[in-house]
Amino acid sequence: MRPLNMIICVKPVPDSRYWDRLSLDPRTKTLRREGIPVIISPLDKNAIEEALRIKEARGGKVSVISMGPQNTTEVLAMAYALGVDEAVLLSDRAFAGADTLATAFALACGISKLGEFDLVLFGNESLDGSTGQVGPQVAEFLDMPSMTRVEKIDFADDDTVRVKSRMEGGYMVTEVKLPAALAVTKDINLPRLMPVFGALWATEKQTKVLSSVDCAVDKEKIGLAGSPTWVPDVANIEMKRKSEIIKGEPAQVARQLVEKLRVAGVLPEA
Amino acid sequence: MPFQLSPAEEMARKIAQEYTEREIIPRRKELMIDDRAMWKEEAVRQNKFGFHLHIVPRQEGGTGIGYVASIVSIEELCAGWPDLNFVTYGEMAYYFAKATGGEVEKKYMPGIIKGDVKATVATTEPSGGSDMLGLRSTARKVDGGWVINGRKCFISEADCTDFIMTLVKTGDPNDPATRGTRSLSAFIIDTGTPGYRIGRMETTMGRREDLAELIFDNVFVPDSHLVGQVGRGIPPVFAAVADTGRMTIFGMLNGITLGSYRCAVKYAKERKLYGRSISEHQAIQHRIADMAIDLEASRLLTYRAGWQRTKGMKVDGELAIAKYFATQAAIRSSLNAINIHGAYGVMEDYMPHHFYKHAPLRIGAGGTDELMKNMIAASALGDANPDLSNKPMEESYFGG
Repeated sequence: MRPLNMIICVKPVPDSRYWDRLSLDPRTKTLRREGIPVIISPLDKNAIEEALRIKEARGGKVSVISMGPQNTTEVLAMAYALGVDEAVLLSDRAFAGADTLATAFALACGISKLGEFDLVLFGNESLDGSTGQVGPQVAEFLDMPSMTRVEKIDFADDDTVRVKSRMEGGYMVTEVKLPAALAVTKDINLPRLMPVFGALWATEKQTKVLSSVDCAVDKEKIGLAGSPTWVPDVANIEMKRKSEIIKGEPAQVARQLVEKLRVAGVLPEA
Repeated sequence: MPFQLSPAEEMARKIAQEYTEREIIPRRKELMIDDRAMWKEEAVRQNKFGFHLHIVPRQEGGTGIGYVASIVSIEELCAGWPDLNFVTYGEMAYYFAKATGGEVEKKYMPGIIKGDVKATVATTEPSGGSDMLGLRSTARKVDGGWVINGRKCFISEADCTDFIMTLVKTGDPNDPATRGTRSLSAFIIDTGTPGYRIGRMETTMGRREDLAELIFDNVFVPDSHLVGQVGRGIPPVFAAVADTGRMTIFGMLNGITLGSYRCAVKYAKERKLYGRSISEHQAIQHRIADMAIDLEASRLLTYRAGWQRTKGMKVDGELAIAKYFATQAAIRSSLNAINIHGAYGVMEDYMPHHFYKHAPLRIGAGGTDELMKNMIAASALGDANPDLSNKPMEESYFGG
């Protein structure tokens, strides 16, 4: 068994416990996130857990990489608290406003700066955007095979993983040559709790911050400039009940009500 | 003056919060039916997790972050369930093993660091806890050790622990050299020792079979189990009560205040009355404000005491102020939570019921309100930090 170098792409998302405080900015069409604590997107924790388990079994190195403003280091500290070896943050105004494609391009550039690797792991989709696109896109940019909806990873040999992935109405087992990109579901494992010593790891290990210059990326392919998609508009869905008041004698009102419900298809025809 | 937790202390809180959300909150229904087996299972799990290692120096296998990390961890655990804290007993095990040294430290320390060993303190007798000179249990010197006889009561988690530290009489009332405070010695007793047994389990307003009676019937302990010197038993017991006892009680009290606050805020936002959330009513807002004040003031006082203790400062007065205030704040906040919940607040399925029932349990633990006031007054009037080993009992103060 040879040790493996693994990299997990981590997305910081607003803590779901505070979603009642989230609102949409009608001007910028983005979420107002001020004052909302940020966490590691839950499925990314499954990806970290899987990498830690593989490292415990085979040895190697577990790195996490993320893209965001400087305070994303607080989220990466939680990855350190879980036991990862290295955390890298791509942080630069040039990365801002990225859609999934520009995000994937930036992450792929960052990953290629981290040296040799065997596995790149993702949560299958993020808690907030839920597109599920970034993993396969990163794999394309890095020119390697990828699988999504992965719920089990075994090793056929040192250079091949046997992956069980969920499909509609069943599952598929595929052998994939390394290096590969795998996007995992919640069924793959139960992420460990941060141990008490995580409080030391989180505060003593430093996150490495890379700018767009450090990554030597083409600025036309990152951030808003590199995004072929954008959000032209957002709308709040207003949930409102249709109401109508029927007046008259009780028996007559009841007959009218039944008739209206029949017309609406709520009650069967007489 | 820094008014924020260190990054390591903040992370210690997040770690305890995550633990509580996964291991405690989903099991509240089980806890509500007072399942003792589940209680013991949680004792093992918490000790294995290692929250007690925050007070253990790094060179000895702990995190060494300090007492504030311990307090904030217990605060989160007890905001999940008001007395589901076993950190105390891991910390006590470490504290007692270090205080005793020799064979006891050698035997227990590896298990303490691994989270396999817990201990509790047993001083209180039917005559009381604070009046240590009134204790009646005795230890008689024999060849190679001591034989202990007597009875202790109201001992926390005695049925979950591996050893205890107890305080008994070794002095001769007719000998002026071994009377008064010099008449008491502290011993370690392994709970499997012949003659040691658990008697009646007392049910408190918080829990069934909460506190244990301990019976010592010709319990032999070797000389290595004497803590410190003969006739000098009060300082280690007092230090244990002050350092591990009251510090962990701070966390429990803050947890009740925090838990009450959280559930009251949530309920006030959700509960609709006369077409709007009750949080929009000023009467409710004022109660929430009172709870926020109590929470923040308790945290500031208790964290400062923890910080001072981590720095090695002897702070009896500050500790007593923190204990007194945090106790009152927990009682007030849990009652405020009941008031905000209305009739639901007293229902067993709602958390204010449990926070309110547990808050007064902390009055006696680590010293009553009156004892705390004695300590505060002594500190204010210049009688702070007395040398307990040389001071007549009547002039000093002790927690039970």
